[in-house]
Amino acid sequence: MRSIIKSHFHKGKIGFFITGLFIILSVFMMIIGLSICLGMDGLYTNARILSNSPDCWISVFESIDGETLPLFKNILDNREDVKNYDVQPIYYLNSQGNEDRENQLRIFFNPNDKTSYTFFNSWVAMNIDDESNNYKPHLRNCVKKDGYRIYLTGNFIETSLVDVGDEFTFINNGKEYKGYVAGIYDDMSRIYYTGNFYVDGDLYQEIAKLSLEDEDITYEYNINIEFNLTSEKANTQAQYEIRNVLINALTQYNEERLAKDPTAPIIDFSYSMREDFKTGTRGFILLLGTAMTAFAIIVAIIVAIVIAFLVRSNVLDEVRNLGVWKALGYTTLQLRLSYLAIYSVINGVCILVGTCLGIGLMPTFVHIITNMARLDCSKAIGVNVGAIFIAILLVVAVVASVVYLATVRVKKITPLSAMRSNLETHSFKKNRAPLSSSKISVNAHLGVKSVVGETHRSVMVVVIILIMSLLCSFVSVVYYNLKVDQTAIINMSGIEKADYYIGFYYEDSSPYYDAISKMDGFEADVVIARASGNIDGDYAYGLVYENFDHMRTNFLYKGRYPKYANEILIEESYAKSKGWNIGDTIILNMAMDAQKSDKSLVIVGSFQNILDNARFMGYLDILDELYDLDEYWHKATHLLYFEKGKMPTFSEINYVLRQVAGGPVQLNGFESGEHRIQSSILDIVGTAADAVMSVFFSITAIVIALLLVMLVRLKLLRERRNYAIYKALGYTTAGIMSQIAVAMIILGAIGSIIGAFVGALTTSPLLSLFGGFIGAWHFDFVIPWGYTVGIVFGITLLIYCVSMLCALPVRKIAPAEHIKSL
Amino acid sequence: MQNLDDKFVIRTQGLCKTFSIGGVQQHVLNNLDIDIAQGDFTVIMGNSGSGKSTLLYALSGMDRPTLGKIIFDGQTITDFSNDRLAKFRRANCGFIFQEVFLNDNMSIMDNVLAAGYLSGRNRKQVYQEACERFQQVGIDKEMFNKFPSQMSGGELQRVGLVRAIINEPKVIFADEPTGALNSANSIAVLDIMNKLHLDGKSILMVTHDMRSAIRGNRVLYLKDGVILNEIKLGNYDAEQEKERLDTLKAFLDEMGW
Repeated sequence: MRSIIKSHFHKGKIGFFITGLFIILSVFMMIIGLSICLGMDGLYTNARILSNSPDCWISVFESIDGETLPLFKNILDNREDVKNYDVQPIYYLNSQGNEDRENQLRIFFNPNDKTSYTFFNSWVAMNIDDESNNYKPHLRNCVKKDGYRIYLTGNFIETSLVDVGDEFTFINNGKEYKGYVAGIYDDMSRIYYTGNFYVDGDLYQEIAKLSLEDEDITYEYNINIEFNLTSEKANTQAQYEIRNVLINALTQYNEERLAKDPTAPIIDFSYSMREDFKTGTRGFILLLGTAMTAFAIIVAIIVAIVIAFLVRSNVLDEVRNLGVWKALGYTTLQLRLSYLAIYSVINGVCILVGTCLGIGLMPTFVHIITNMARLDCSKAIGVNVGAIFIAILLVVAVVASVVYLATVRVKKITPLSAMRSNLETHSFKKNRAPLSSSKISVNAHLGVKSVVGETHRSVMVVVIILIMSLLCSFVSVVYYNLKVDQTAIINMSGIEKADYYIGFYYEDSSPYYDAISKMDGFEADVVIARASGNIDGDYAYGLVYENFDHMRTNFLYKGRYPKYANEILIEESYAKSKGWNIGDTIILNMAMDAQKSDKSLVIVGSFQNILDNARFMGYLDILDELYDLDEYWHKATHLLYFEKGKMPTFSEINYVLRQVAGGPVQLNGFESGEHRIQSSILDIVGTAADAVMSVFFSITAIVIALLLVMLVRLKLLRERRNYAIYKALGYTTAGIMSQIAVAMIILGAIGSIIGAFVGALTTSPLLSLFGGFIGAWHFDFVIPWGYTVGIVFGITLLIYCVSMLCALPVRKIAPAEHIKSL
Repeated sequence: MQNLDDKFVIRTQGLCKTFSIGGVQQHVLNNLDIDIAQGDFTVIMGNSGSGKSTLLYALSGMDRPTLGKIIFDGQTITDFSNDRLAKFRRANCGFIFQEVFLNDNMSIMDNVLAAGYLSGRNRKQVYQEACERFQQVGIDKEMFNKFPSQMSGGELQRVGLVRAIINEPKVIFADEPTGALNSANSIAVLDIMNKLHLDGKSILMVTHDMRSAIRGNRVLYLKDGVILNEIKLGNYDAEQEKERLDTLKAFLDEMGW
């Protein structure tokens, strides 16, 4: 038995080698992909521990010695699920809206660089040197220079022109405090808060001194909260629950104050939880993990196809030997087990290598993933034992079953039939593609004959290349729609792509809007606001618009935009989870609405929102009982629309506004819609797209190249004598090489054309089928036909180059050596 | 006066071929000078390992000598590159092998056309010629699309013959063409070869079978890489077969065969 196994091994070294590489690739990718998918909850739990982030935090817009702190402390003290909470003193520096304080309290990054300077006139200073802060964040990429230190979030660094080491200047009353960006702080719950900066103890003390005389610097507080719930699911529920508890407590508190004094200002707060980070990143991390797992399964399928081909070919080539062994007394089962034994050994070795690679490279992959999420937590996910188990089980099952099934032909081989020169095993019923009907060159035609003559090999190559090109096409469609033409993804983002988002801090901002409205090409300005409240008793957040007449982002999934104030759009996933349909009526109660008036709204449609930044959209009128609309209008964010091709630049608008103000303008935000979308989603998904695209294309190239290496080398081994005869008859080396290349190109072209075009056409339907879990129910991706054609050409060119390279040993085939007998 | 290159289709000067087997140098051909005349049916005989096949493949340009020069149809083919040699072979050489060496994955017609289409001649004409040649060797049209595995040894060798002559080569090289055939098939194949010879084809055949060897008009005896001697038998005549056999036998006895 051992000699039979040895014989199999010596005759199929190249095939075993390539199959082994495929197995390693499959196991390695499956372990990493599954570990990512299965370890998603662990990732967020571990990333929290590694970055020392709280589960959530509240920032209250009231002085630290106000009445709300005891209120919140009381709530938190009485909750069993709160493990720990910390009151973190902060300074809130706010000169925005104060026209007399131009250039006061502002912090400028790269102040001397006119093209990339960035400033904040409203920001929060936290003390990084405060040792009593139990949630002091993990710092990284730290540098040392002279001056005050400031630390920014990774997200801010990635989405701005500011980098570690850059200078900053904080200006107050003509005095400048200079320093540098000393590093990045990782805090999952603050990652999207770009105005929250950690400063060193010295600067913090300077700000503290200033606060004594400056009423625009307020000494406030944050409360960092950590739950004792180890289950990520329970922890997430607690994050949502405590938000509702705190909102209700503050609403009650505000009601009581208003009852005593109707003119008392409402105390507001902001709340952030690491679930926001999870929501913002889970989709693309899961996408990467799923993509890797899917690719690993596809490679496993390729392993199955290749093994089936190799075993079947070997059985055909070895009919005579198998017959002899049967004559010697070996049973069919023993012979079939001999194949199984050799593949088990190879499988075992390769699974071991693949597992080691998976374990070894896991931190690198996690580092890439968490970096894309703007964190640095390479140890956030370890290799999942279950993933290893599944990967091994799957590959073992695939290899064993395929080998066993592919050797079924051994049953039919009898010693007698094997001795009769394999006549039973070779059946040529039809002379396909006869040379007599050829109109092309002889070498090309012989290539064609090789394609039609070796149908099993041809089908295998076509199927594998079809799968790979289908995947490439799928990925390229996704890439094109994320990076090149982003219309479809913008439509799913839930963000309106107005030309500009702008707001002012003036009591009366109408002169500014009047000035803008007189600009060439002006079309409209529309007020937009965030709103949060309860729908049928559940907390929900949404966006409200002055009107929906100028919408450029078509995020509708079903129905239509609201036409009246009592109509509302609901996010599709949310509507599904609640079982709401178009025509249903819901009750909305604004959370901060002291009057607690319920509004009855009719659902007229649903929208897609992969950012999960709104669960409803309606008319601004929903807010009219809370705010004085006229006053609100002046300070609210407005969407500016200009005619196509007439959108003014930032400078042009700034110039007009400065003319009205007669100097610097008190802006409450001013950015282009494109930038808002870019920083909210496209930067993150774009990075993921780059990564997925390069991984898929590289692996496709590797798989196809390995497949060709195996096939061409096997062909050279099997056809050596035929090529020697061809050479004797007068065929040149180049001619024979081109026969091999032509055969491969034909198969590659068939596979890649079918795969690429089917992939392009099925991308949107497939994504729509599975996209619901990230809130995307309808993908309307543009098919980049140029990319599709490029994939076909690329794969064909790759096949040509690899097969020509692999066919180079034809040069060494000396006809005389294979023909003569000395 | 006739030019030597016109008279002799192949001439060699100081032909040597050395193999290194396990580090040991083995001189298979030793400084050979041979002239093969145009239109001759030359037979090379000798014991196993005497270098017969090596000489045949060197002369046909399928193998390269270690030293020496081969002038084939006036061209020094030993100076040719591999590709030029391949192109030279397709135009000037036809091969018949003991094992025929047809491509199992192609029909017999395709096997012949794969050689014939290389010549660059009109394809219809090549096809017609292939059909005619098949008819001449007794292979019917119905068999054209059959595969080698579906034919007998004798039929296969006749296919090999058709493939060898499809490009109208200057010389047909035959390496033990009857070695794997039974008596009847051997005679049929040799008859065709004789007919080709009578039609003016130059044939160079390696054999150790006396019944095959008497078909030639010149027999060279090779021993230890040198031509020990040769005998001229004149053109083959079936009625003088016994006399030719006796003459050859006497010659071979003298050579120590």
